[in-house]
Amino acid sequence: MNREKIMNLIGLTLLAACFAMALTRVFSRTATHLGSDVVTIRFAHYQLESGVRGAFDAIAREYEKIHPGVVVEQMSIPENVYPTWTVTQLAGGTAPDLIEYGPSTGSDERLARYFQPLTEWVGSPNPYNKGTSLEKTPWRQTFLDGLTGWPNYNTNLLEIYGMPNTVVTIRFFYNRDLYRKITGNETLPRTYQEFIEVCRKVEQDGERITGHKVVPIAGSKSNAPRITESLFCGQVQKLWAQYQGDDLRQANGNEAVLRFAVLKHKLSLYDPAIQSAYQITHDAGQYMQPGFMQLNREDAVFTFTQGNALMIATGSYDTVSLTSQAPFEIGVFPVPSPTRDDPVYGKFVFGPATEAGAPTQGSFLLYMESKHKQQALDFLRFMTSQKMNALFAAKSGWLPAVIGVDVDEKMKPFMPEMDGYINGFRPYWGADTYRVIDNNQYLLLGSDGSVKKFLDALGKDFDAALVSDSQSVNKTSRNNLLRQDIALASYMQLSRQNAVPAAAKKVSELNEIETKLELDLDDGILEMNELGFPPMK
Amino acid sequence: MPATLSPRKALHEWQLYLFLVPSLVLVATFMYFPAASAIYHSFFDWQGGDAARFTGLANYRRVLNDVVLWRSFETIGILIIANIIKLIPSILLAVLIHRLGSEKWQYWYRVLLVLPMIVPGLVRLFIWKFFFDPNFGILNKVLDFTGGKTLLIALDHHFLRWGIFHAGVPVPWLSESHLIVPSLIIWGFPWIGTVGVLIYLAGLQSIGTEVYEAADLDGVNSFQKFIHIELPLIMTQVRLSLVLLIIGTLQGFGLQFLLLGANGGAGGSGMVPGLWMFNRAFSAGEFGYACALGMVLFIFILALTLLNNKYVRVEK
Amino acid sequence: MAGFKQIPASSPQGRESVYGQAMMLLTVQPVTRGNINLSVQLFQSVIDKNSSDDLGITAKYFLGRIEQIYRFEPDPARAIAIYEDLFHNHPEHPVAQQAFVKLVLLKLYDRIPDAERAKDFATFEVQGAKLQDHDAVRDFHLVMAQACAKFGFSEEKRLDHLLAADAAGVVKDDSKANLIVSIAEVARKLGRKDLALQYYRRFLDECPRDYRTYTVQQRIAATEQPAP
Repeated sequence: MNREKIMNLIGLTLLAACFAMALTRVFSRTATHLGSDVVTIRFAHYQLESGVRGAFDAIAREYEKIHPGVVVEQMSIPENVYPTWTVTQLAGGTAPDLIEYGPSTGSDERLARYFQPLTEWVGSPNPYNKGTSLEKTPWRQTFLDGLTGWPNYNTNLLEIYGMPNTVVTIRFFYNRDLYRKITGNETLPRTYQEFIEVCRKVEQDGERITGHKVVPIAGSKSNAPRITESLFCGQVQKLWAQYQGDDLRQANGNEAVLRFAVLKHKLSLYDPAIQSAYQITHDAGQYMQPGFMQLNREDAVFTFTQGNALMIATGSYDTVSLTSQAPFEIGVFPVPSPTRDDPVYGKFVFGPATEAGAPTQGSFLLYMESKHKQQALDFLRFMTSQKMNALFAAKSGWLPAVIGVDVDEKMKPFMPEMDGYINGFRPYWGADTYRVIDNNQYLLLGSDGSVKKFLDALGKDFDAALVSDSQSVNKTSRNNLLRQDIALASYMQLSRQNAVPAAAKKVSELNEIETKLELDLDDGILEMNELGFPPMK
Repeated sequence: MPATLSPRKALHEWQLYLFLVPSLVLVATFMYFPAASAIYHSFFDWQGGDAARFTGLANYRRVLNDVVLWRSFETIGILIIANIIKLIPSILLAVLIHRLGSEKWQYWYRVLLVLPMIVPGLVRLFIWKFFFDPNFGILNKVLDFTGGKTLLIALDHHFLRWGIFHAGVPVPWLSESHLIVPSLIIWGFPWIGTVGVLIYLAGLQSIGTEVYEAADLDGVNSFQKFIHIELPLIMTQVRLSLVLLIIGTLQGFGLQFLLLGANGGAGGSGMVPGLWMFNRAFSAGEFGYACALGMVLFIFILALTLLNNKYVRVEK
Repeated sequence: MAGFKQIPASSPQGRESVYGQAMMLLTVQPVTRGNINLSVQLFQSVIDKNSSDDLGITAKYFLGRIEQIYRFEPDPARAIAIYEDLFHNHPEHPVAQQAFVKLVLLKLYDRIPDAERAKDFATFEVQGAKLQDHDAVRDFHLVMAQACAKFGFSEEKRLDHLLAADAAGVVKDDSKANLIVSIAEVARKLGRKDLALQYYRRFLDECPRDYRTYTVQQRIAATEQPAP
């Protein structure tokens, strides 16, 4: 055999060996699941932060201890591929039993098509809370937010889909050494004016004291809105309440009222409260590094951990990673919004905002086609029990989502402040209004920015975007209604035939859901017709 | 002209055609099927899942009145012209390498050109994003060091009147509306595409030495050699590059998406048709409309390619 | 769909199978005008065989739904006509009563002069009092209460309808929370302190994790204060 043939044979052998190894690996994994006595529950998430995977692992092992014959497998998927991975798994019918709520799972259609609503089970106590203070509490009420909002409760489908593990609150993380050096003390700002005073001190004295340029706040496209939106919403508290008819009747408020008020020119973007909201946004932006709008979260974190910024606003989930990256001691304080007494911005506010609506997150959805649905649901109950949530919080360094869980001292400043007023509305009401505002934000937040320039630039584009978003909302309502209608028709038949015991109850539920959806839809259609626009695109 | 094969002869070893089947299946599945699906869904109100409503030409009628789309074509027009100009450095470099006397040096320059290709395109994009960083980016540091910043301030003050260049304030390349298109043009400096250079080099190397000898005898200088000999003889490659460039620029949005986000950045200045298609699909959930946008884009690309084929002639 | 088609039309389950096919055509993707028209024909054939039994009434109800929400160009006037006919002929049937609720919604939210809307509202109040089906009663009152808020009808009437919806019993937790706090708010504005306090406290009791809790506590404190 000559040299060339030998080389070819070696190459072919190597290729065959690699292929055989790959096949073995794939089939051995599949074989584990084919074992008739073993039930494998798989759950997938994109939380690769330190500690979180370990926490989930610990919970999985605890479950396996009390359920021999069940294997719980964790799948950690990188965040940037998670949307594509999830969609592929769902479309291919190979999705794991539990999937973390993420960017690609949240559309109404996807939720309705692929995930099991959990509403029917959340009214009963969680059996894994036996022996605790939550023994008799309905599962839903064991969570800090009662699963009343996004991402767990879908307000269009009126069903609960997600079971959370953590709650996220926003805080300012600050460099304690730097703070001490620049301000001369450790007293944290309690009011908005005190906060601005600290920012001014950093600007005036930061470079002189430290020998290098220091900005007050490390901003980025994702970090800046943590502060600016909070401040904006605070300024429009009274306006929001006014447009809700000073009425608490809808949990998340009725933003359609605002949209149509703007389109009918009953509410102008030049309204004093809205101008004030944008002004405070502009002011906050001046204390971030130049050009922060083009930066990513990693750039802001880099700026902060390198000691080039005094503070950064981010979620409680970043505690562990910031603490591990920063070579200095980190402190925490809440975003100080103006109170009623504030001489400049107090006019339009009721007071500090409640964090009772802080959404519980890290939620898992139950795959509708799961082969072990009941087991997966049971694992979900176990994972979200008080004991296991305490384990999760301890190991991950994240906040717990379940009430009554003791929190580590260093995490206590992150616990949601329940007492407070309902915050105002966000500055955008759909994909197109968000785009128009995003495109023009540089006129507000840039070094030469001003509220007037920004509002003048929004102009006609904003109205057109508002029409487009209103049409999208109507279409979504219509599509959701169609989906419910088909389910209703089926349950009506089943109820008539007494084929399914719970069918009559389901019919009642669906009728109620449809009434709510139709009220929203018909209201939207009427408003658009009166404005002379097609109700839907 | 090649001799034609009779059908009988062609089908004599019909089993050999079976070897084509896997490739055809893959091409059909991963290239033709998605395109066919896009054409199909462009006639629907489709949110990307199973549910779809047949709406006929409604999406196409909407495209005609889509202000953002037509504005994005203005941006893409500027980028196409800029990219055509950016072909020049590659051509010049290919000529310079070709004219090197030593084959050994030609080889080493080719290796030096190819080496950066090991860096994935995405990494290069992120590195450039860092270059544009107002506070730490190399672009601003170079401008400060060379005095270019002072020139820009003077230009802004006396001529441009944009009010965006100030002493002591870092230039916000990607968060200032007027600077977005220049940033997209500057990206990739010095605009030497490895593949382009290699393609042109291959073309230049097909020019026989006798052509150069004849030119020397006629007293032709270097520049004239380039204009009358080298450029015409690599026009096939240039035309190919032009076609690929036009298609790539019209379709492309990865650069804009990474640098500016799905909304096209400050003032929407970086919005290009491909990015608008992405925005409609993934930000607004209007997948059917995005397919219609894709079809319109396809027609544009086809039209420009046909124009290119007709008017950019290669004189043999 | 194939399952339904296997059942011959002449068989005892044939009519139900046709009904099933008609419903399926509304869900088959993609949705087309042709399928919707075919669905209408199939529903009509179910009605033609017997318009007075459960299946016939439900089929007619869905004919109304098709005109209301399924058509590419909805025809609310046609939907209203179908619902009116259904309710007129079968006022005691739950589905026909639910059709009445849809009719109320469509008419009140139509583009009509305020005076006409007020007149319709008054008429519906009289007709609605005769509803017996639990779902229809509940949904009717929810619609009427919302219409009061939207079109500025009397707050007293709004309160009455909200209380009636509560008496009928709302199923969904979040709808219940909204209903309870709505009653409290309207009662407060009407000066009915006792009622307001009763419902505010019920809200705190039944919805302890709701983010309106603090504001409700403030409302209670303000409402309990004696008038100056």
